[in-house]
Amino acid sequence: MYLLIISAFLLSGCVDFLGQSGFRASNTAGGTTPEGTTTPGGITTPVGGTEVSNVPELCTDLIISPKVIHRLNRDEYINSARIITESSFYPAVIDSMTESSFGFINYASNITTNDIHGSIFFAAAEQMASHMVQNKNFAASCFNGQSVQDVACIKQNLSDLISTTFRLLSVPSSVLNEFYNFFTSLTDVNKKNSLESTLVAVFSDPRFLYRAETAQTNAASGVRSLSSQEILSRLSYYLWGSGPSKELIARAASLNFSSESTLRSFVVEMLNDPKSDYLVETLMTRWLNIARVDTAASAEAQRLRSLFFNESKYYFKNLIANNRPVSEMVDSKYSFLNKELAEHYGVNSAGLSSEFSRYDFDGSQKRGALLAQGSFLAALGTTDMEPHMSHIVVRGVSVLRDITCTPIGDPPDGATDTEIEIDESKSKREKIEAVTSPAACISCHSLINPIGFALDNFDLSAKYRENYEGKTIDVSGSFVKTAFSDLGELKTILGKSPSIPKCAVDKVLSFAMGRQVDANDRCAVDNILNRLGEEPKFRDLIVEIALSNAMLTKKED
Amino acid sequence: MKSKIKPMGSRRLHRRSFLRGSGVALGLPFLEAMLPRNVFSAPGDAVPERFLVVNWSLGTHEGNHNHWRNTAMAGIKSAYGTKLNFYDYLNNAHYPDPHWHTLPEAQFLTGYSIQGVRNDGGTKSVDQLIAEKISASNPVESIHLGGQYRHINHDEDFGRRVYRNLNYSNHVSWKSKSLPNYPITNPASAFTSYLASLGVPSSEQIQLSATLQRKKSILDYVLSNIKRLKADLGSEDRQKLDEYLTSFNSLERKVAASIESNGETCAVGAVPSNNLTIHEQAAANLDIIYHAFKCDLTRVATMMFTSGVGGAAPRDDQLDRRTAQYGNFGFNGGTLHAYSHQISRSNEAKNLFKRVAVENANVLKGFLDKFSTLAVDGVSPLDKSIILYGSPAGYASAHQNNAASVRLPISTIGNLGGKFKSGMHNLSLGGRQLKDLHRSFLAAYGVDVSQNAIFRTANPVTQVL
Repeated sequence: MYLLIISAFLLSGCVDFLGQSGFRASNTAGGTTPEGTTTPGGITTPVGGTEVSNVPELCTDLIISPKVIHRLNRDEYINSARIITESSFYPAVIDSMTESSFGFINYASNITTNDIHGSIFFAAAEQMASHMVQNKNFAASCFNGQSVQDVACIKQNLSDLISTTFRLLSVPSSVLNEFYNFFTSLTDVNKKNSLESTLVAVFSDPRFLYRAETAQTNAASGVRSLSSQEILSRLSYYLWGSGPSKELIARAASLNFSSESTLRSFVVEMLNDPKSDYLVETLMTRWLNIARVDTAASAEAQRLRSLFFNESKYYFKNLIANNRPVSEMVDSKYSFLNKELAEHYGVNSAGLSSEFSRYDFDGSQKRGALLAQGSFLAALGTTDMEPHMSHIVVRGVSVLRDITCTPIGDPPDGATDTEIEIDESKSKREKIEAVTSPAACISCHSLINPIGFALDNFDLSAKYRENYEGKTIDVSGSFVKTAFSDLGELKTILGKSPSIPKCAVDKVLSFAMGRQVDANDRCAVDNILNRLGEEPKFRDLIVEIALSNAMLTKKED
Repeated sequence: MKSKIKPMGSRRLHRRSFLRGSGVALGLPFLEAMLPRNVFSAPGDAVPERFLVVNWSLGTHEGNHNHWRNTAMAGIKSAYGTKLNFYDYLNNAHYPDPHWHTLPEAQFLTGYSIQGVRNDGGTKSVDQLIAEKISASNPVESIHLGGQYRHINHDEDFGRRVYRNLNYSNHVSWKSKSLPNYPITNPASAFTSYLASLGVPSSEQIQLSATLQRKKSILDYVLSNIKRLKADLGSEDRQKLDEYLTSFNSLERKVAASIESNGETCAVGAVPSNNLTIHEQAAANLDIIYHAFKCDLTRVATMMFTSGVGGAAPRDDQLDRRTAQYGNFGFNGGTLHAYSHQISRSNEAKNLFKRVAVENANVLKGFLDKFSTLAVDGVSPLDKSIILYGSPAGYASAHQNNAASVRLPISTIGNLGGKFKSGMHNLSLGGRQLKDLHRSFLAAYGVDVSQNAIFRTANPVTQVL
């Protein structure tokens, strides 16, 4: 895998970094789409929907790309099952979907459903229904032996279950009657069996498995604001990775989401709930590649992967919980360590235990923030199959692509088949500079390599080193025409770059929306950045995205 | 000291001891002593027409495929020579455009160049067109199984789409131009989904029947709800929901067919075990296909040995990655794809490709031997089928140049009741495209391609018709 990835990093036609990468002022509203057509603009309210009174936006060129119906991915399914059953239970059969990544990705348009998924979802529904009836005694008080004793009781239980499962603020009588009629149509002697079958039908229903937003609008723009119910569903999957709990639904039903302050408080409440840990872990593992530490090339990194993972988890939890500046993602002098990890890093472990706690590095230590964390460094290590490219290129590209959102294209045709003469007596840096020296490569590698070189004081298991193969590692370079002598100075440059918060908004918004943020979202991104002010903070960023027009409106396709 | 290297190059290969001995038995026990019992087949369908695609990625270690044809395939040639065709000078659809050598997987059965964006081209693949013709009334129209694939989930979240085209190396079959049939890569899951209910002991049939009837009631109800919701959605959303509808329809058909079988069962073998090597998994997959054919669950299938790219190092609890690196061959330093980059300068890499080619062919021969036992009244199933066996890449070492696109290692086994000529061991096609061969398959199966944008423009290979 790495070999191909690396090949993708031998690049040509790399765009002008300064001109297009996001190193620019954020307020760049315009009146046309990239294609030059007039923008539609204008938001209408559907029947049953709500008007959302946002603060004045600096950018009014609002275009929303269509959001495709979103099937629950594996994580969302498991989290939702736990919410519905109000327990730690989830149907084990859903694990068999780990056979394929297809269906677990976040982008709705890429989540596909094939033949075997139907079987798995149905089997999962059977397991959930069985758990509810057999173990949780669902609606047991409505029965007398095998017969129904209290019809109203059955209906109430079904209504509550449908509300949580389908994410409904109130269950229309037509929907309830659908399922109740199905229940009565079954001819089991033991009606508990009929109830279990009805629950299988509920859990197999597309209104559970698919996050459908079915209200229509007649507006020419095709854009409408979402109903409270739809907002609740989006927020819940964004912040919790699950459907809303019974309590959350009840709370939402009592609120008026058209009031921004109300909605803001509601979002903060959700963020304060431990279920929002899902967001923290998803941000760091998927956005920042930390999940790849599971497949790190270094055996030592594999051994330490849970420590690396925890270091980053606590770091990101801190950024969000304490509303730290977004720039601290890349620029800080602290991290979260325990004794074992501190010893591995070679820093003073006195006073540390097996528990993770904040650790402030002194000035001579090159650590602090994501770029010097084991999860990031080890996840992007490569095997010895690639001694000449190694992790330097992978790390450099990852910083550019994932943290600064610098657009980097594919390598040029034939670039990887060109033979280059290498002097084996040279340092690794010199070899890499030689390998990437062809004109077709250097336009992008002039950006990639310095970052990779700056990180080369850390080996594949994130241990600090001064030398490699008997030669002193040269970590100096320049970035955005600013020279740096080591990683500490590079972190400072990155920390001051407006591309970092802009990229963070792009990435988190794309996750929240379950689709790629595209040029149509430029205005939405700029408005979020404007609201975040001069020094964007992480928790604010998550909240502002939740309150953004992109999240609270929908464009029909 | 100076040396010449390629930018992606490497000269160091890991040498590690064999994790698994080469004597590990492949495949599952051959349980069936009886002739097949086609549970779902209609009367008179003694030996139905079938179509199978067995595909491996990345081509071979030499441009002319002599080792593959003369050594790796020797056993098949010896046993099934009269039904075997080798094709030479057949190009894939990318030719003459330079491309990644990992992309061709996605167009292996479409004959259409897909250059990185799923919706920019492609069509329903040849296996699906044939399935509509010969397998539409079977419980499952077609099944798609595979080996290790490349994980892409982290690449496709958070706007990271740059590796998107690698996605295409994971599948060969297309339900529509935008909807691939992703192969099931866990044999135990595939067995449970497709075969388990066919082999229930008779003592449990009464209970099974009641269970199936209940299941069918629920499925019918859910299907009606899916259709109702679909009516409320926009066009793109309807397409996504269609996938679920199709998936549930397929399940409902399987259940209905089980009920109609009235308690008759079809021996399906044992559930495949976990922790299989790539070749053990391929054998297990082909065993599932054998049983699916035997029980007439379906008449069309595809099976990929691995994806075209290869995965990362496996983790102990990740079944589907565990077999990623041909560890049983003693090659743990990289994926097959990684080794393909070494072929021009590493004997070790060449040897890996040779051994993979031989073992692939052995697995296929195991299937052919078993499949042949489904003969009825002296008619071999190979005489009523076509099995396409090959790779969409030519010379494995080629990257981003035409050598990967030309002279594909392609063969067929079977003659489809005389509608497809066989026994040609070197049919030179002079640079024609894969879609021309596909067009020949379609002609042999009698598929109307007048409405198909890709295949209607192809020219069938007349030598085989």
